[in-house]
Amino acid sequence: MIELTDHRDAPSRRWPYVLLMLIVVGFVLPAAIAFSTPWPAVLFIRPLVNEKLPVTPRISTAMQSVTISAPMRFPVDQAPPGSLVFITPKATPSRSRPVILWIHGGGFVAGSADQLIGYLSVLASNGFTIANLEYSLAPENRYPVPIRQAVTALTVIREHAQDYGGDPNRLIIAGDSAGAQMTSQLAAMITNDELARKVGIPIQFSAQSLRGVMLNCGAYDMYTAPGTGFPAIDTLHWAYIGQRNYLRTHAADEMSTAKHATSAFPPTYINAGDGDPFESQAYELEAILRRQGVTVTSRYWTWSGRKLPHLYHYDVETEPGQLVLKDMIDFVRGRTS
Amino acid sequence: MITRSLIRSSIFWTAWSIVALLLGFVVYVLLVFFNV
Repeated sequence: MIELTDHRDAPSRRWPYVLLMLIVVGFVLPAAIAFSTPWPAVLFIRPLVNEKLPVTPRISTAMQSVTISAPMRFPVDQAPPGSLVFITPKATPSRSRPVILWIHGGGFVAGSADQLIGYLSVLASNGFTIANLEYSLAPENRYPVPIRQAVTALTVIREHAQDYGGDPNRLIIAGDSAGAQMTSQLAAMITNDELARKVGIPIQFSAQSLRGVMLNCGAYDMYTAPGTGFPAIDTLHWAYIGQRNYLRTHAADEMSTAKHATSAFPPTYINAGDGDPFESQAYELEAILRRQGVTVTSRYWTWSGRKLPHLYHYDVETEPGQLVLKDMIDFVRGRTS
Repeated sequence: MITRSLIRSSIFWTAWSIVALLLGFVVYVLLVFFNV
């Protein structure tokens, strides 16, 4: 007789192999992947973030009252092309409108300008020309590629805003989440030559034309942001900056607007929900800006018990969403009248 | 007998492989998304 039984499969001898598999596949492998590449997390996050915002009645009505341009692609020095979509009210204005450059969020690795067309249509229908920036995502394109694209977008706005009824000398820059970080950095670079030199991107845009910034649910200090417990924050910054120990890079310093905002920083609107881990980031930047003498308007929900999550303001059918929308309309009108 | 033994063995290892992969996924999510 030939013995065909594999002794490793004998029930009493299986358990050491099961334990070994659990340790390797269950602990060693995920840890090795988590510490060697941000890619799996990025691929997991993208479909979650890339969902389009629902078209609510308010958004549907607004979209009928605005014109949405075809994407205007523009070349960018040392970076892939960027693109801008202009959203303008259909009604002919008596004078040129304020321009809002909007930079979308998505943790630098996800999201798109297209997702916000509905929300920005609501904002534009209040008499603004909106330039909605599409920038390249990480990890395919790393810092400072999106900043280069945003800086070039300023030049495009200066040259083409009038074609869309906008006045480039009355510009507001706004963004949400990662877009709010980029907005704050852009404003810091425009008003702080030393930072612009550090980043190595020359800016040919008059600080006088930048009338204000609107920062929604962003991180403004890369050194304190990891302590907020925002999901996957280290992996997102690793993907964007390109180094796992990103806090040791010059990029982390340049991205920390809290360290580079000067008294010339433009008047600022800042908001965060009480359930958003980045609420403390908004408080931190606001305190620094106020110390510098910068005018700050803010909206917080601390102690309200609402637990408003990250990017809560995009739900324009809720009271908090409507309040933030009104805040932004009032801020733009107040800063550009 | 051999066939039955093979089937039992493959069910055993498939089940434990799924458990290990699920554990790996949970550990990865904890490491990356909750900064454990």
